[in-house]
Amino acid sequence: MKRKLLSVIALLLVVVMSLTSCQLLDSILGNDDTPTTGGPLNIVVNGEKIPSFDKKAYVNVNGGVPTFTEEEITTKSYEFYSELDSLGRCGVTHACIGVDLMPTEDREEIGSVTPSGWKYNGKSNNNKYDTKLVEGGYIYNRCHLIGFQLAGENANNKNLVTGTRYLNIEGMLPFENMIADYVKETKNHVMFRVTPIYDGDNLVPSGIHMEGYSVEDDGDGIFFNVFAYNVQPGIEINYATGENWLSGEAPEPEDVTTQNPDTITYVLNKNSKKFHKSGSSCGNDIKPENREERTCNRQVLIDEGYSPCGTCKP
Amino acid sequence: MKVIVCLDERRGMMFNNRRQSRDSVLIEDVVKDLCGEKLFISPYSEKLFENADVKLKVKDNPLKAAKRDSVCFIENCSLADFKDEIDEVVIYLWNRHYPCDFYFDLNMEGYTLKSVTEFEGSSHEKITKEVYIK
Repeated sequence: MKRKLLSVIALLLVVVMSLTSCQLLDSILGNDDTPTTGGPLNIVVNGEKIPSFDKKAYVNVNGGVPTFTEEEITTKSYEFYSELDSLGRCGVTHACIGVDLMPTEDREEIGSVTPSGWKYNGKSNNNKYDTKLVEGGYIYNRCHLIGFQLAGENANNKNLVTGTRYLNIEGMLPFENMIADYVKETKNHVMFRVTPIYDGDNLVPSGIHMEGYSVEDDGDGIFFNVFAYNVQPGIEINYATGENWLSGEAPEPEDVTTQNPDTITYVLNKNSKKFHKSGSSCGNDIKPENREERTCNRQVLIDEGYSPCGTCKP
Repeated sequence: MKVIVCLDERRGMMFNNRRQSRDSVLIEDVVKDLCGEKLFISPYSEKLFENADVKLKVKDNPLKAAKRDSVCFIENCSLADFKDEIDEVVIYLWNRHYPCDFYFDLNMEGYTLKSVTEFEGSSHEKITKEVYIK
């Protein structure tokens, strides 16, 4: 009995130790939210796990305390934009906002910029929905990281990301407004750092991390550290590609039957005259000397005397 | 009691323990309307009036300290519990959307809009001033 108990404990230990992936742990705890559909999940900002979207456009990060270092804080206006990465995505932007950096002319057209995730496979992801669901209808905006009203940047591709209308209006604009009006009123400077947060190789950011700190009054006027969600209530987004659809109306995954029948690869057993699905376990078990891979229409195989495997049902 | 507040488009007042916005022309308007009366404020609001010619009564909760005929400028206090005492509300609207985690919580049922005026601030294109009375 004692030995049996020890075996169970050992087995449990092995299972727990093998759960090194947080995602796997989450799946067991019932938190396994697919990161590429619905709201963005698995969001981590500076090592802090961000809660899933819950009807609030933004949440505090680090208790709302910005993390500018003494070396970073300055009263000299400037702006910085990261180079795009290998996937064409924007990186961190930061600026010291002063009245001298603010625009003196109207905003120009920015439609020439195609941020990552705006299109996928040559097709625009900027779908139009009922205006009751999305203000203006179109789900996406080219969202400025450093807002135009702060630094006057127009069609700068290092400063524009694919963001929902909700992110732009409810999540980012309020902070830009607050900084802009504070700087105009006080003539002080505000440190502003804006970082798009991507999950892995996703083309569309899960959201935007924003930090602000007013310099001359040591944060008495402007002081925040927040994450704004890139969501559109009522609509689900595939953050890997930017594709989107009405909640609950996810497109069917591409099925074998919808593939071109002439471009499907099968595994043949030349000995048993059976053919199998490529990648199936029964196909993988065939001895090398009897195995052959063929990309063709299944009827061709049947005409040659092959029959489909009853297990993997190709 | 008369209370004066500043609100954004979502009836917000504060974010992260800070006011959403400020405007020196608005402060001048508040002071002008006082006609020499004392203004009850919290310690947080004191800086806004440091250059103004105004008699201030600085209290942790000005609504508790104020009397029936006093005037209070409120930024970071809940108003809901003082509805019985508040017979006039002056709302300055920024006409802007700012971040917010502290909202105006006075139920305006029973108050009547007496006047609406608009003016340009020092850093705000249009500030709307609404006066409500019981």
